[in-house]
Amino acid sequence: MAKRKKFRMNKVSYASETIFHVIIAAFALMCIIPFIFIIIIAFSSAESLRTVGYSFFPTGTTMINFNAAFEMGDLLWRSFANSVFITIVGTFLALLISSMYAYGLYRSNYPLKKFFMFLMFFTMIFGGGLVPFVIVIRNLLGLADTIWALIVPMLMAPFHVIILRTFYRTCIPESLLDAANIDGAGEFRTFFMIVIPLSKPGLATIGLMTAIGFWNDWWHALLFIRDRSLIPLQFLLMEMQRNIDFFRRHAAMIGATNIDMTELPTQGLRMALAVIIVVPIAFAYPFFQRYIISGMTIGAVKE
Amino acid sequence: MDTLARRKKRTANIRRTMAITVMMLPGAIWLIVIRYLPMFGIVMAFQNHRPYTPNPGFFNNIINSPFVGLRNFEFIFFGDRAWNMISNTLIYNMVFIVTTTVIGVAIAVILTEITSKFFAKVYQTLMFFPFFISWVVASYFLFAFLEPTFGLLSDVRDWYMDPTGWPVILTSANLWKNVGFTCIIYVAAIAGIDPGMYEAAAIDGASKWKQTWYITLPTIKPMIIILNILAVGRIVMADFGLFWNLTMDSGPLQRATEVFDTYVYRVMISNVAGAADFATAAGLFQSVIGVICIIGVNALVRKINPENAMF
Amino acid sequence: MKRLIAILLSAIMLLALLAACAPEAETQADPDPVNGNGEQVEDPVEPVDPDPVEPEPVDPGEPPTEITIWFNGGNENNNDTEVVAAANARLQELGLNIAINPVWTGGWGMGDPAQIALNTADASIDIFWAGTWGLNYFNNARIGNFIRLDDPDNNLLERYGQAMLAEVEDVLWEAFVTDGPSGRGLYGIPGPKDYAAWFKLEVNVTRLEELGFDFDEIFDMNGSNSHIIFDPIFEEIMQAAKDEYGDTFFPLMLESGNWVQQFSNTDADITGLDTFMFPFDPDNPALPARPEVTLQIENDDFLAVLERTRHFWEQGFTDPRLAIGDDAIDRGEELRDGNFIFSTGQYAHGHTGSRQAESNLDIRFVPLSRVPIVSTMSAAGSGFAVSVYSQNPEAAVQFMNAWYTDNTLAVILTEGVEGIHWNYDADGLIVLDHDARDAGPWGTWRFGMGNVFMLTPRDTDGAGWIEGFQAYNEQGVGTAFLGFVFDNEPVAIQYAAMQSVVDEFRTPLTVGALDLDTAIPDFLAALQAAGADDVLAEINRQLDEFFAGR
Repeated sequence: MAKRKKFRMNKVSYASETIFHVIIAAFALMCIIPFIFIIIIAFSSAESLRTVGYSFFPTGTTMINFNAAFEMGDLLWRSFANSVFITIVGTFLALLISSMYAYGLYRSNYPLKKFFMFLMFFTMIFGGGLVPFVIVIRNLLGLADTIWALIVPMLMAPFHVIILRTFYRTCIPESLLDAANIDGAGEFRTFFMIVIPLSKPGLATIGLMTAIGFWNDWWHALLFIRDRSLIPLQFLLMEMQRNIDFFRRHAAMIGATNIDMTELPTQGLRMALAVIIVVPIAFAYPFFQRYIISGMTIGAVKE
Repeated sequence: MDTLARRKKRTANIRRTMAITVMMLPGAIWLIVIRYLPMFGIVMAFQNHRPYTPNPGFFNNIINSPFVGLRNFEFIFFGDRAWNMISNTLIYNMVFIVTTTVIGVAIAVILTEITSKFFAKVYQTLMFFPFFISWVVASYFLFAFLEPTFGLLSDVRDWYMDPTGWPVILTSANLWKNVGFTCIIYVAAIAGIDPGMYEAAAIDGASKWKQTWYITLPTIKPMIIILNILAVGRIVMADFGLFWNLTMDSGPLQRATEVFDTYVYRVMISNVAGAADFATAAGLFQSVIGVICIIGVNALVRKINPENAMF
Repeated sequence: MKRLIAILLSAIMLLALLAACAPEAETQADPDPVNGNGEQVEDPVEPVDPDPVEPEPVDPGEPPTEITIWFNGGNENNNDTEVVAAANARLQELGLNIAINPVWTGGWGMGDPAQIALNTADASIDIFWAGTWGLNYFNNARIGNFIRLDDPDNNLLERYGQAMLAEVEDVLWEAFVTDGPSGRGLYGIPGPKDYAAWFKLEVNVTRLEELGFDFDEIFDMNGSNSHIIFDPIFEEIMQAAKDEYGDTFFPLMLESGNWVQQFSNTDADITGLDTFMFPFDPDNPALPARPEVTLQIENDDFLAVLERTRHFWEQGFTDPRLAIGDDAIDRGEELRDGNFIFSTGQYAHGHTGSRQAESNLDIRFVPLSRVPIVSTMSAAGSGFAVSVYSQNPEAAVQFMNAWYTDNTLAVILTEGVEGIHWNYDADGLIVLDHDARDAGPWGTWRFGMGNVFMLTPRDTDGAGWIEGFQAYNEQGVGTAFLGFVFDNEPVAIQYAAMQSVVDEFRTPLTVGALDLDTAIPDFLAALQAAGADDVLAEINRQLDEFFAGR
């Protein structure tokens, strides 16, 4: 109880905190309104769009857009399942690999630290180009048309490793690890029993970014997947968008070949699909956030 | 006895090094296979790449394609539009770096100062939301505001025909999407700070402002520096979706919104002969500039404080 | 640092070498001739056999040769099991021991992977869809990504494609002739389809009559109507529509890429930049109006139409969304709902009915010229090419031959399987079962995927559809520039720089959104700064060669 009181004592004044609330709340609202707006548009009837335009208060609602999305049936559900699979498996593997790699970069008495740092750092800014990358994944690793082609290329993000290492540095005193070493704990034990639990906020942050990366990825599917049963959800939306872009670009040439533009997916359908894509990953967010927030109390443990 | 202990320690050290190396291996192998192997393809940036018809195959094509020197790089600098897009890219990136850092740190500090953890959590959740939304989807939203006939702001001006205002729109959009995520990194870093330090400072009479200035900022400084070094390395790269989707690729906006990646994309999807070679060359150009910038900034940081340097 | 880089570089080189071996090892597994050193030797030149090869009886024991085909535009059936099984069974009946493995890409915008497959020497695909748009036939043929099919060394077409050679119109074969590493010849097989393009004004007669105008008084269905936009009546109708249906109704739903061009007697810009004027004589499209090519914005005809378009924009007749690139979708919605009076589109036979049937509107296509024209763009609009990396080019051509000449196979691949995806009606026409076919948001592209003339008409087409379609195409007059293809390699840098300028001005300019007094000089100056004069000179040089060679 005394501790809580002391905690409250060391706080900003009520006036300043009120101002903080107003600023942050305004910004937070701006962040969520677009999504609400997209949901409203997805439910707005075509008639409403024509009369009042894009509006928060449509004159009529419709389920037609969502029905059209669900009409995709199997394709929609299968791609949904694929997205879930690659996100879960990919995030787990990526976290394991990245956190171990970051650990080596963090230990100051590890002699190969500099070499591995450079090995990784160099790839952050120097890329090999698309064509040879495709060759490596497809011919060398033989991953084309497997679900692994969507996971392996994103297993490690040097950017995330560096953030994680910086987290270790700010949050875990190395003396703690040295003490554990002296007590006879091996490196693996130290890593899994001390480093991982202490770096939960960092891992949760990186895990969240990785999960979003996997969830939103469509580019690797475009490159490596021909089997329609393996495509992820985001790919469906991008496919529609790219089709529309394509028609726009080539309108002058397409005319004669007579593709009926009226058969393109409507804006409402694209909005509905966007909603279907965003909702699941948004629900995953609180799961990660629990750790990020709980990280705020880690200091108390150290105390 | 003494030597035995020392030998024991040395074996322990070697064993420790081995163990850490084993932990590094999955990452190292991934880097070599996925990132280093494709680098041999850089040679294509200097070639007029075409199939070797007598016996076509990827490696045969590379070996037999003629070298053209720096010809594939020329289009990056050809004409006034090229210089326009290069300066746009640099200016936007510098503005983005400053705004994201300042506002990201400010919001992170404010968030940790909010007494109610419930509200802090709610704000953070909401602020992170835009990060889930791809630029394509975000462009629908912006379009709803700026659409020339029905848009909520359509009376102000013909937005998609008039470049005025777009630098502000794009900077805000970039903030809107990325601040929640930058701020989470900073919040997590601040969370790692020992609260005892604040309490001690408070007992000594330090104001909240002073605590932020002398405790919070110095502690998260390494994180700020690292994030910014990385951002500087991407100074000639641009977030393609932001500049392509949000502007609806509307022509009259180009002077204000054309950046490196959109410029190269136009060439890549055009009918130009050797589009793939041009794109490879552009990518290489971006990488080389990035390497130079990162090494420069890192040297600068090292000069000031070696501990904060990345390598 | 130096040592690090040295170690790194040597590691890369070592690994690159290893990587270099890997695909080689893969090809070794193939039955290709390989000499002792592990290097592949060139295929021995097979004895040229000018006689067409009769299909040999299929040996039941031998596994069929698998042919992978890259379809753009996709198929409505996300589940293709039945279609592929039926197609393969039909191939066996025809005496071809070939099994096809189609890759249905989800749509047109997904052409990149096809190009990447070619760039990465992907040997797993045998046949690509390719045309003047999408996967560029001429570009890829020129650099050698496709096999020359009439190469005297292999004679693939003559040996395996006799029936197809006879079936497909000569004008299409001619349009597909181009230069490549194996000499001038055919690097692909053209798609028999609507190769004649007729510029027409699409008129929503339902609305027109609602406004009290008489269609027959205004338009001449048997002559050219290209002067109509200069006629005061045109403006009067649109003003009436504006008054009647309100401010947010836009009577002129023009097509940004096509509109001005369709009224100014020019061939489609084969360079792909949509900037150059290929003018032909309006009375006889087979003659060039001027022997040389200029920039469109330096042409008087073009400028006159542009001024008129600007006027319509200022009057509020044009939907301002059309100036923003992302208009295709909105345009589609408005067209479907009939929210327009006039629209443009290139007309082709067999397509008039569909929109009318969907919307219950009376939509008529008013001709802008007396006859349809045939240009390189329309004649080479789509086709198929055999990848230079294909392991089985013979089987690929054999399959194409069967597909183009066998009604059963063509119907299976375009419409699906009888009894599952469609049934015959009393007149022997195909009635689609939309529930069985509809699984995706796009329709099958019936015009150009295979031989349209081999199909059985649908009930919505009516009997006699094929004949009508053929008759329509035969009316087509080849333009002066039919067969001309531009090789932009000598001016690639300028061409690339121009692309950005064109993207900046072209769309808003051609819908009338820009003030012509400032936009035209700006556009011209920007084009010239990007090297448009070099490109023009090169076009005219190649055009002179083309005319001299005819």
